[in-house]
Amino acid sequence: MYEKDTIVANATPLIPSAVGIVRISGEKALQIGKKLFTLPEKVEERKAYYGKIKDRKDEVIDEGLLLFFKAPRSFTGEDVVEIYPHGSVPVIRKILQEAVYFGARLAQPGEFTKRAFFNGKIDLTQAEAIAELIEAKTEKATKAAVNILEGKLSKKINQLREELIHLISLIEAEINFPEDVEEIEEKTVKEILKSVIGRIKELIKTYRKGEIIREGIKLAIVGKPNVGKSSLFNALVGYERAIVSEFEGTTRDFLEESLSINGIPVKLLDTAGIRETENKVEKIGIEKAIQKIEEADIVLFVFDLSSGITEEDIQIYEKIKNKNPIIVGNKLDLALDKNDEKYYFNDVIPVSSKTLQNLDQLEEKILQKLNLLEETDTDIYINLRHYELLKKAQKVLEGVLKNIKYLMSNKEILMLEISEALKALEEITGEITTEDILGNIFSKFCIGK
Amino acid sequence: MIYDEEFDVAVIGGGHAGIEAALSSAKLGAKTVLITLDREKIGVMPCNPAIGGIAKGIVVREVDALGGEMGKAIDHTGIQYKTLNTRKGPAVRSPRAQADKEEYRKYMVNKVSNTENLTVIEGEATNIFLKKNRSEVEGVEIDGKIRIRVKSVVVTTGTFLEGVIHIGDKQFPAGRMGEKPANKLPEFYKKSGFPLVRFKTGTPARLDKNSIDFSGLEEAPGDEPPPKFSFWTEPAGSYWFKKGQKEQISCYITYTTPQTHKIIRENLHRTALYGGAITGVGPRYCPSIEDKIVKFENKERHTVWLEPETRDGISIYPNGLSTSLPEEIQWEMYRSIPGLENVILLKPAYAIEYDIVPPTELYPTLETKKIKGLFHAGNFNGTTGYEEAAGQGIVAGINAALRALGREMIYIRRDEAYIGIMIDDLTTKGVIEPYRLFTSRAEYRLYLRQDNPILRLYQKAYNIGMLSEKEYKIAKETEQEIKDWLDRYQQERIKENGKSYTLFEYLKRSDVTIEDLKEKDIHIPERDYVAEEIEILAKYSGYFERERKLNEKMKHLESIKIPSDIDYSKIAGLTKEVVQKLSQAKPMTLGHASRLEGITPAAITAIMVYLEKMRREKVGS
Repeated sequence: MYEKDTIVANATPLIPSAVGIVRISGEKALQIGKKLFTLPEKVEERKAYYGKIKDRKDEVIDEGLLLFFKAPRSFTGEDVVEIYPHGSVPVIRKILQEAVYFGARLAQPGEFTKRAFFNGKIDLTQAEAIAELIEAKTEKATKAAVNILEGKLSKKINQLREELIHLISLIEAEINFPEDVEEIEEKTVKEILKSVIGRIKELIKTYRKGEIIREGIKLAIVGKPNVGKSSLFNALVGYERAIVSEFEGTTRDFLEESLSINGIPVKLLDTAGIRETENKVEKIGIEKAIQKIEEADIVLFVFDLSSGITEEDIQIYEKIKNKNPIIVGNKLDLALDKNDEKYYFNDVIPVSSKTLQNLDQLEEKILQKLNLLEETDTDIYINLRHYELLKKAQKVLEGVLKNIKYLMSNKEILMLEISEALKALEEITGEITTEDILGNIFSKFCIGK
Repeated sequence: MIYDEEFDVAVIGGGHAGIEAALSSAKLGAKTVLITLDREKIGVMPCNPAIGGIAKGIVVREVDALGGEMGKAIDHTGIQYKTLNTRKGPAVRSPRAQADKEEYRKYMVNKVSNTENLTVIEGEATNIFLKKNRSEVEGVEIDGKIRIRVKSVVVTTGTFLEGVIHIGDKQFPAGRMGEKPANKLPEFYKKSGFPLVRFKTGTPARLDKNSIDFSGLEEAPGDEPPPKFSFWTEPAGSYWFKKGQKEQISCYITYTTPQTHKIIRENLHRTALYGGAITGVGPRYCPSIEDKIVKFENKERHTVWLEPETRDGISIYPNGLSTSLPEEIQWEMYRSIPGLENVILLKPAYAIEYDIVPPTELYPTLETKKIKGLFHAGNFNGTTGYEEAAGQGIVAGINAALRALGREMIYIRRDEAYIGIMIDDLTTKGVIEPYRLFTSRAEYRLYLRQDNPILRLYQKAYNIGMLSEKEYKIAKETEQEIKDWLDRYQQERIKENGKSYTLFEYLKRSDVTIEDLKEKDIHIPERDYVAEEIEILAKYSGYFERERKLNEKMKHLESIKIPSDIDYSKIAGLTKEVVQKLSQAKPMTLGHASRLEGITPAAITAIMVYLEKMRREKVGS
């Protein structure tokens, strides 16, 4: 894990940039800082110093800024020095080398955050949020991580925890003072449990959303040949990569490209045209396409507005309608009757891949399907670890409700059950934690974060 | 120093802790002396005339399983027996008995006076002498003149050190009502660098039975068959008396009235506590009636149990009515209660304040960390209750003797017994108010039941030397019999509605009792104790595993020993405050450390990692 020594790492990636950051944390941080940097005798905390960065031979490496954070008022809870040189890779490397020469050790991945956790500066959900923040590719993912970092998830979990603890203490009072305390009513127990389960479910719901925000979504485009699936795909991606052909059946390979809709990474699964065929190779392609559709979060069903709905369109639609597809009428620019409402489907979005007309409507529809349109800044998206622990708590508590009659006359078992749920919740915030979880969480960090 | 006499172990105090300490020490073959102010007061019950209660009853059976006396004494002298919490599962039930406190005292005086290796000296222990290095006991001074050389000392001074009784605004020094306090020993503690803290407890007035009108009151009879506390009392090998074996006496129930509450409220300023005379901390769990009325002002009435103190005497103990009101107000207050309209107080209620030494000064062996051979037990450690006192007394007595005999001391783990939980709580967390046991303090509550103390502890007790060969044989055979029946029930099957179950699975069902099996002509164990165990084990069988899992981490932490020479300041991630706490508390295991106040899970992880690193370095080098 870590020792009581002083660690150093670059907090910015080793790529050329305007400014870089080198962070030093530990008892000797200031001492090393003074050797590396021209500083006055007395260094004030939280004040920016401008000066020269020097090596062991007192030769100037670069010039820049230095900030000192005194323990425990720092990110790690230890003395921290941050040096801001120019973002040149050789300069940053040199500073690291010299810091090590002066007594620091290169930090391991996640070590700064780990120290922050050990020093009680952050709880487990917040430590995870830092990892997610660093990895966040989109604005939404960033915002979600910040919310957790601010302790919003911990707060919700702690509220649930307190309610279970309240329930436990009511029942423990009864168990331990049978001659003084009246028996708790089944109704009361049920009410409290239902309320807790309800809120656990709310949190669980955010998992899917959070996954979408972090991992992005998979989009499949389905339709008979030549309705413009590839061109729609291209229009959405915004550049030409797919093979577009005037001829039927030329898109055989799965094209997986990424784009982002409103900050959500979207992985497009372009599929080979699904149709009746005798061609063996095509048959395999079609089967694969149908499988692929199963993985998709969103399915677009495309037909050609210029030729109208055909029997084949309907056959294909019937095969995939269980995926609740968005119906897209393509080639709006070629359609003869632009206001034709007599489509087979109720809710059609007419678009043109060529003129990009109504693509904004389509994107909005996609977001709506994903429940991503209403967004508030209190949104919390739980991760897989939270999800599993919440599911565990939910399962236990639902089991209690199911078995309530028996448990009300065996309250010592009721207590055991509720304690199990409580423990699962406590593991989320790290109230109870195991080395495994810590190792798992902290290994996700990049050096210096 | 010249000594008048030499013993292995000296026990100071003849209360419920001192008795168990002295008897167990003598049983182990240590030459033991019990020093007490008045040998006729050995085993006195200064508060309620009862033994047992939730969790406490389990402790009495644990003391019994360890070879102690309390269970036998109450089985001989009880006048009413009950099992509490019968509306809940067997793990949280507990036996409780009303004692004839006069008979109980006589039983204990007799037992202590007629035990081999045990001498009683009447007098006040006025000092404890240390060896030259100041870190090990050498002797005890009695009445400032007699000096005895000892290897171990067990201090069980209860409420006697600097004891002060409060009755309303009056106060006077006393160890218990009518007995003088012990004011010399605190000097030894101050000189030796021990902190002393003031604690408080109280007891209600005693009422004249002949002045009470029982006609309108609710009668509370004992259970039939009555539960017993000792596995060895006849019929040996069970925790039940035979039906009709005990002649029982009833208690009566009455309630406070709005008038009672009004009297108390109007005179609150004259109580010792609310008037400001008492500064010591009182028990939250055993509150005085004024406490209950102030803290639960919306509660219209409080229950009062009228408990006989002896079988034939006139003294009645009104449980739930302890108070520190002035005596004349007490008369008025008690007389506002139905049935007590014309009651005569035999003795007024009083509160008592006394010195304790924080139990964080102790190892789980109950030996002090500062001075080798010095052990503390009972109320002196900040606990309340005869049962808690006895549980500590037996451990302290065993260890004092083992130490004196040059044997390795023992300690009891949290997953072995409530005694282990209590001692661990005391020595790790310390006390901020008088400590009593609850079942909720147990991590392994389903396992630490009232029905199995003998099974949990007999092997340990026998290994120490606390059980006779005969007792050991009974316990071992009982365990074997249970195992055999379990095996049998796990193989034999029963069919119901076309489904086949093993008998064990069948018995696990919530709607099936072992009596049901009997009706289906299935063999059930003849011994009631064995039958009861089989049924409980079946009912809880799925849950033991879950309970174990819930505590897996704790168990793991418990297995990680912390070397005594550890330097906490070298561990990264520990704040100065945490380092200081750990250095002072000297936890023996990581589990022990994790239960200390203010030690975070993160700190525990940091220590765990440090220990692992040290281990690897050792292996590497």
